[in-house]
Amino acid sequence: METARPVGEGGMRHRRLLPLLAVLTSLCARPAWGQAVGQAFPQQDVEPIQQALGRVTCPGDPPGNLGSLSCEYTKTMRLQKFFGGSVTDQAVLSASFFGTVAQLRKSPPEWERDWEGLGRRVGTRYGQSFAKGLTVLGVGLIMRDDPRLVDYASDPLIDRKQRQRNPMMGRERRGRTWTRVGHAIVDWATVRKSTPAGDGGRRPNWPLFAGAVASGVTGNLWYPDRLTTRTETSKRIGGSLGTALFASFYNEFQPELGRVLGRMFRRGATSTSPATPASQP
Amino acid sequence: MMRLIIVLASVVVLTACHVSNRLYNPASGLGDTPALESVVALTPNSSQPDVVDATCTPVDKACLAFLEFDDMGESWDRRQLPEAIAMIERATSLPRPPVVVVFIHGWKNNADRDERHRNGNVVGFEGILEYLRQSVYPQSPVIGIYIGWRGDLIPPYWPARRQLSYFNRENAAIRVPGPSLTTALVTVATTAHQRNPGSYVLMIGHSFGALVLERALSQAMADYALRAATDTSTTSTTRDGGWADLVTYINSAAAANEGKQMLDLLKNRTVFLTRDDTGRDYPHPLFLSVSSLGDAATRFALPVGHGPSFLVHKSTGSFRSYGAADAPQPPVTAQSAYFTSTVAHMQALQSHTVAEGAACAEGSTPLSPAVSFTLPNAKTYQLCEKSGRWNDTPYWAMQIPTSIVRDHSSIFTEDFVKLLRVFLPATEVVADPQRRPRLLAAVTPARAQAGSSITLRGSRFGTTPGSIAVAGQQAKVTEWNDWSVVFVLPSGLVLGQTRITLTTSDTRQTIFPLESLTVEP
Repeated sequence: METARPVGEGGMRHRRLLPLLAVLTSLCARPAWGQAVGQAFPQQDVEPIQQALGRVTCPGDPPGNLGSLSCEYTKTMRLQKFFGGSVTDQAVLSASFFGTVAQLRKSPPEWERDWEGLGRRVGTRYGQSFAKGLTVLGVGLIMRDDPRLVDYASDPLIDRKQRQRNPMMGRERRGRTWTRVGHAIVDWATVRKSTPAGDGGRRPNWPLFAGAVASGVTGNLWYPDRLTTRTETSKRIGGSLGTALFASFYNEFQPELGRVLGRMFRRGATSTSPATPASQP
Repeated sequence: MMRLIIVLASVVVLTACHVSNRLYNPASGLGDTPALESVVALTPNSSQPDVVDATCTPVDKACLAFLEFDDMGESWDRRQLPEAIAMIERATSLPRPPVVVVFIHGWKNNADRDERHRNGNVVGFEGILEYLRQSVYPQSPVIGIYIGWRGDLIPPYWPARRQLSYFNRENAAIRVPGPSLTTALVTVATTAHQRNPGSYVLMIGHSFGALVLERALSQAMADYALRAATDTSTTSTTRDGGWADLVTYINSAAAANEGKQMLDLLKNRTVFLTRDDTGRDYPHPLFLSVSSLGDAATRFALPVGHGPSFLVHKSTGSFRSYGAADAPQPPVTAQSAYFTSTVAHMQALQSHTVAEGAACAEGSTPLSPAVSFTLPNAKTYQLCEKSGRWNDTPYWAMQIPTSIVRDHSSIFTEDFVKLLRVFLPATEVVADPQRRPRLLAAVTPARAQAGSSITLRGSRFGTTPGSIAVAGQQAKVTEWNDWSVVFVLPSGLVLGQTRITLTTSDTRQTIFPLESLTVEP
């Protein structure tokens, strides 16, 4: 049984939340905007041999990369991301997983714990994901952005003056933890422009924001009225943005996570100790 | 509406398309698209990095030929191999001996060089070839052979199914290395060496490509090892390098079971082929298995991926324990342990370490003479030998720091080539046939007691007898000719691995690697 949509208090919170989000986003993105909007910078780690071979090191590529001819985020890549993330198997699996979890939690309680309820839960999530992906695709195409995340160490727009003095600095650059936390937020709140050299400036991440809004609003088509208030819609938008922020942090701190995993698994694959060496009698 | 969405989603999942099983680069003049044929000339820094050129001769450019194999391991186009061989023959007829690089790609890759969806490994391998031509061997012809197989089964539009294709593609990687591929690899290597003995043949396999390469070479290597140890003919190609000079498995996704059999073969058959005149005394050919510490795919995902098969094998009693019959005793007695790791990641099979800085890590010692290298990141690395290692064969296995190879896929880099350079001959040696290192084919037997007769087989020892020293002690030479030397192992030597020094009558010295001979009580 669906309840009437409450208005008033939730709407007030929503009105407070949005400006706060906008201010935070502006603050996070400001350093990047200050450097980047509408400008192109020297590509990171351009080494003479790479230039001679017509190769480029794209943001996120290993140093001295010989395997990239262009850093452009092509239409094919965009379509692959849309279909892979919002249409095909991954989208279905993701919707099924989170829909099943919601079914077990009986969320929302208005939907019964039966096949129809499961269908609603899974279908709603799939629909939200589809709307989000389609919006990101459309806005991204218009903006010609490059949504691939980069960490602090490989961001071509960081410390450009220092890099101009020392072209090799990007190879080993590691920022302090708080600097990298800031970078993760900037990389979430802004997006790079797609260019063949991978040196496009940063601009607000409108595709992400628009996608989150599309996802949140599309849910209103199916959710019970109780969950279609602006407050609840904002929560869903916030959740979507939060997931993207988590992905940016994961990307930034992936090396550290890898090291932790390495230590955990060291006992397994690599610790089998040798018996008496055969070369000894 | 909701039911419709669910039905559509289910249909979408169940009807996932696949990357077509097809030939990408047919032999010249036979394909539908003239721009996509099997022999190309590399043209760096242009809009078209590779241009079809059936008669490509590597004079001022690198040439590349494609050899493709279908999902059952058969050659897709039998005319590709003759075209590749013709390219090698053109290269070997040039004044300088060529450098021939063979590459086998791994999972999620293929031989597609259509500019609309060019495969990243094709671009990367072309980059490596160009780098070798311009920066490493500028005076030598550089040619490449790209071995294509159906590594990419599910397109990126289906990311989940694509990941699950791991099992299917692993089976393909086990299936592909059949007689067709082995024949192609051996033909490429022997043609290069027979046409110009100074040719240098480097083979690289990445990820599942390393599994393909290892399987394809194992059979041929077993035959070669036996022939090299016993062949006394004066015209044998085994002495003149009938095989690849360096075989590199980078971030190999082959279970250690594959490598262990090769290690056993090399350990028991005791074939050691070494070079000299280069200032270094690496075994030859050298099998090199290197894996990055940052390679999560083979360090963590492979044991997980092998989990289901592991359980099946375990429950059906397919794994056994090694015992007294398995001499020399392997380092780990449970066969199952080899199934869930790779040679380079398995500590017990590692032979060397790469240390960052000037000093070796605890438990390892510098090579003699020391081998160090510096990358563009200004870091210096030292190649060290593990103390008391079980793996004392010419199959070197080691993990490398992430600052050299960052992860599983980042292998087409300047840093990786600089690592390879440690094992490649010097530029001037490759460029000058007169400085070609003499090849010592085998030390037989490789485990012997004092008073035993030891035979060294190889080439260019000279017809006038020289001298042999073992651990500094002069040995009595009983037979000496250009391709074979027989001597008596002196008494009073320290037990264990020892070093043989061969000095020809023109005072050129060859120091055999420690692995060559083990003195037994």
